[in-house]
Amino acid sequence: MNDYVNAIEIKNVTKKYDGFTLDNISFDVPRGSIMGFIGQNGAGKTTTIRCLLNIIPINAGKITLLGMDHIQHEQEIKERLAVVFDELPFHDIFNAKEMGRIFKGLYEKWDDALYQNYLERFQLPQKKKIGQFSKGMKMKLQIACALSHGAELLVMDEATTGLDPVVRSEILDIFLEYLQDEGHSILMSSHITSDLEKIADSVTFIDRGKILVSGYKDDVLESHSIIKCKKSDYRNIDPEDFISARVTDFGAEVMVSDRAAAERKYSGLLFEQTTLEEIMVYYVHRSMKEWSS
Amino acid sequence: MTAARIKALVWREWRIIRKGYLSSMIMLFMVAGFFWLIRLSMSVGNLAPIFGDSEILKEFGGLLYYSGTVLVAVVAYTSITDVSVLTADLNANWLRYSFALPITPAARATSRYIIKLIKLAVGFGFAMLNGVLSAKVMDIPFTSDMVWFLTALLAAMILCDALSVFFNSQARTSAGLQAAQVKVMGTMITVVMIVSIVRILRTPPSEEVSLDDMINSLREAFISHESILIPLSLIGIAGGLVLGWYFMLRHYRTHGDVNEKAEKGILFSLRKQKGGETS
Repeated sequence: MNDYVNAIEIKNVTKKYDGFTLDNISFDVPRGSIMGFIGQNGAGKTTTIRCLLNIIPINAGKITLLGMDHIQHEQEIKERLAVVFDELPFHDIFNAKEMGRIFKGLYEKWDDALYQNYLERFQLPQKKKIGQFSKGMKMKLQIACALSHGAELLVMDEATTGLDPVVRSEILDIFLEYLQDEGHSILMSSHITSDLEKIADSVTFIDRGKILVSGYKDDVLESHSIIKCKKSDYRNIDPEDFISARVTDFGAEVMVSDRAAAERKYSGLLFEQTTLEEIMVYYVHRSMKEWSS
Repeated sequence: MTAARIKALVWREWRIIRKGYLSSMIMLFMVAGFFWLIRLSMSVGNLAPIFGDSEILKEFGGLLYYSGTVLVAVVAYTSITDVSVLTADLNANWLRYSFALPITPAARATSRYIIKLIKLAVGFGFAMLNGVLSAKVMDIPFTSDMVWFLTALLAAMILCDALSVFFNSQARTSAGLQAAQVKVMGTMITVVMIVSIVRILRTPPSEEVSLDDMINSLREAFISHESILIPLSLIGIAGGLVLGWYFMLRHYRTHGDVNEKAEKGILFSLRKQKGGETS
């Protein structure tokens, strides 16, 4: 097993389509951490994941997974990583036992006992057809399959989307448990930022194919802030100092990315703690600078 | 490990097709059996007093032996097409997911062809069994030319399947798969129509041509060119299998490029939903 510092290293990756470009993106997922990969639908999250997995070829840049080049060592990497998609990719006719049989053949390090353990823990019936499973059960089955071959890296593409809060919470606990092993890392793509606020160590925010923010979650949350002020005060804020502003009849809410500098410059204004969701929304509106609703 | 992966993929595919495949084989066996029973009844059973040694009995016997055997072979061979598996994979999002699994393109293509080979062997065996039993029921010898004729048909079906793999493997959605099927069927119908038109043009206007006549004449043509057609059939079988396997391998190797096209479609539809805004 090779030694590596970052489970994922993406350096200047570009992927061009007609009308959409994943534009020279770079970010790292440190080993033993969980990174939230956030952005609205169509921002480029899934395209990035497909590039990672070499499902689609990149036009430029370099991707290193688990310390190995993602093309040269594709098979070895795929043996050591697991992917969880938003929808269960298994046929309805199979049952959990049969899926175990298939995965046992596909993965060298498949641990049948661990898989059975997950099935019991998730209360998933062995012989019931997957087609009769609820959405939560389907997601749990996919996670059981993903975690039963000793994967060092878990890549999730909108895995918690559409699940009820109870199941989501249960699943987030499993991910935290998975991260107890220092060699395990997670890249979790989602637009449900509340989940990421709970469990992510770091976040990367992508919009229109560009990485806008990437860093430790706490740093990102501390450096960003919302200034709540009157419209008259808002007019005195230099547009260069903020990302975008939500202006309503009642006043303005202005997102700044350098809280410390803004607090020094606009000392009389009220600075409030922000959330990942707010950061995402204000960045999405950055080209308009001022928006309402 | 590669062998274990191929075995797992073969089992998975077999599990998907099992019900439909066994049903079609049972149905085929029942239809063939039904005709054997009628023929038996006509010669030695309840229908014997009506038909006895009549011409109808001989004609029905011929139809049962030649056309019946050929039709059974064709139906049995067509089971090698994997459209149902491809559709199921696309609908279940397995295709997208499977690219994240540690499976090489060669292992994928090989697993698909192992299933095809098993189906071909069963289809060929089933057609032979039908031919042998039909010949026995009719009390005529089962000759080697029928074996070779069935082999030539097998070669034709394998080449058709390679064509089908070529078109099907480019589909990324159920709609795309349907379009691919139209292309495959269109190509095959065009070939059959050209052959039929040539046959009709060569037939005197007064002569009636039945299905049995057509198959008989085809078989006679085969027998008269046996020395060329037998090796050609064997080359066709081997070539068709290799070609189909290669198309499938190429499809799995270049899946990124094909997915790229699909992704462009997704992006286009997203832009349309957003009223032209690019995201």
